[in-house]
Amino acid sequence: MRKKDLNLPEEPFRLEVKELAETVRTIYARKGLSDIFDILSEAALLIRKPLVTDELSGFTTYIDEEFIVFLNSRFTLGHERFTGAHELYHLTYNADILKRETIIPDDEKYKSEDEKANIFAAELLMPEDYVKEVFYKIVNVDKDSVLPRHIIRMHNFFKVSYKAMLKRLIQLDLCSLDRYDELVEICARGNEELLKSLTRQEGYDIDLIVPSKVTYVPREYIEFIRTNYERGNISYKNMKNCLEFIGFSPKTFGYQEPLEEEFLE
Amino acid sequence: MKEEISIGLKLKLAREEKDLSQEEVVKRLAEKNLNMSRETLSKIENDKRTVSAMELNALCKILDIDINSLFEEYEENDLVTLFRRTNFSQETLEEVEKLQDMIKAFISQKRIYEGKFKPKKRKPLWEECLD
Repeated sequence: MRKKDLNLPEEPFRLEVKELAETVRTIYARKGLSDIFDILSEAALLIRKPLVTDELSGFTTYIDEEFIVFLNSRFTLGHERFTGAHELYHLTYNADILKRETIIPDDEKYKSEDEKANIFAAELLMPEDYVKEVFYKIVNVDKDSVLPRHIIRMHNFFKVSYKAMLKRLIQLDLCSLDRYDELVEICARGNEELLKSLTRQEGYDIDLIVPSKVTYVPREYIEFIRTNYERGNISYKNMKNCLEFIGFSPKTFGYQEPLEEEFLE
Repeated sequence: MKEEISIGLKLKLAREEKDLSQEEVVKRLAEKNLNMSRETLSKIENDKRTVSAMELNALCKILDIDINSLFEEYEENDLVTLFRRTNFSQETLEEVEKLQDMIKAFISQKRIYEGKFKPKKRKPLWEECLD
């Protein structure tokens, strides 16, 4: 097996994108933000919701002069976080395309942007120097001796998926490419229970390897709906419909259905 | 990128969606004391005759559509249209449609909250009908 088979980029290309990731990390660190979901919430309207299907991990769009990032929380939390970082690339570096095309079109013309977004995600979530530092601190074995439990420690530290961490360790030459087939087997479909069991044995919870199925919109949007209703600017029905999108009911906030209501929409 | 769909075509699409023939529609109009021939309805649907506000209101009731929807512009950058190009399953496209509704609803709430929501400027109905 060669590194190319793992879709790992050539070093000059990776280093070019690494700089972009470092720039973005610095910008948000100045605001005290480091978690990918916090960063996305700051940069756009972030919506997390489990879809029925798994054909779509997430997307970024531009609607009514707003940037929106959607993440499908039906995927494992580790996968969702990586998708989030991937979308942050599009949000930051493809704003012009998004404004023109609404979404990043899935065609040859924009394929390199998608590749960059994947490299960016790895660089942002698993910074090279820090991965090396943590590896020597909590794993510290020869690259030919890396075991599944070592990957588990690392991926839980960086809050990414097992597979993303494994690929990153190979990319940074902390794990031998010859170990890939054996190590990747642990996170293959059908081995979920084994991975869960190994994760628990290492003393971690299994949040990252199961879907969060979280439904989330920024809190301020819930406040917009409530305030609009309380000011009489929207109807009960409108308020109810909006809250139901995110799994709330008017009763959650103590609202009773009025007997009669003027139609305000 | 917006593309106008004429009111006539929208009425025709709504009628076909309800699986009603032109004859059935004019019959129901007559029940509402509004006489219109099948030929006239055909002309309206093909944008060869303008439609009065009264006729439009009656047609909307029969076809069970919101009169406002006739004046909304079809957006070519509709998410469902864009995702359809990527060969997603119908199930996913339906989910994207729901998501789009949700996104638009939340953005509207923000606009209303900020006092920036302004209804789209429209010509008077009679003037639109004369276009």
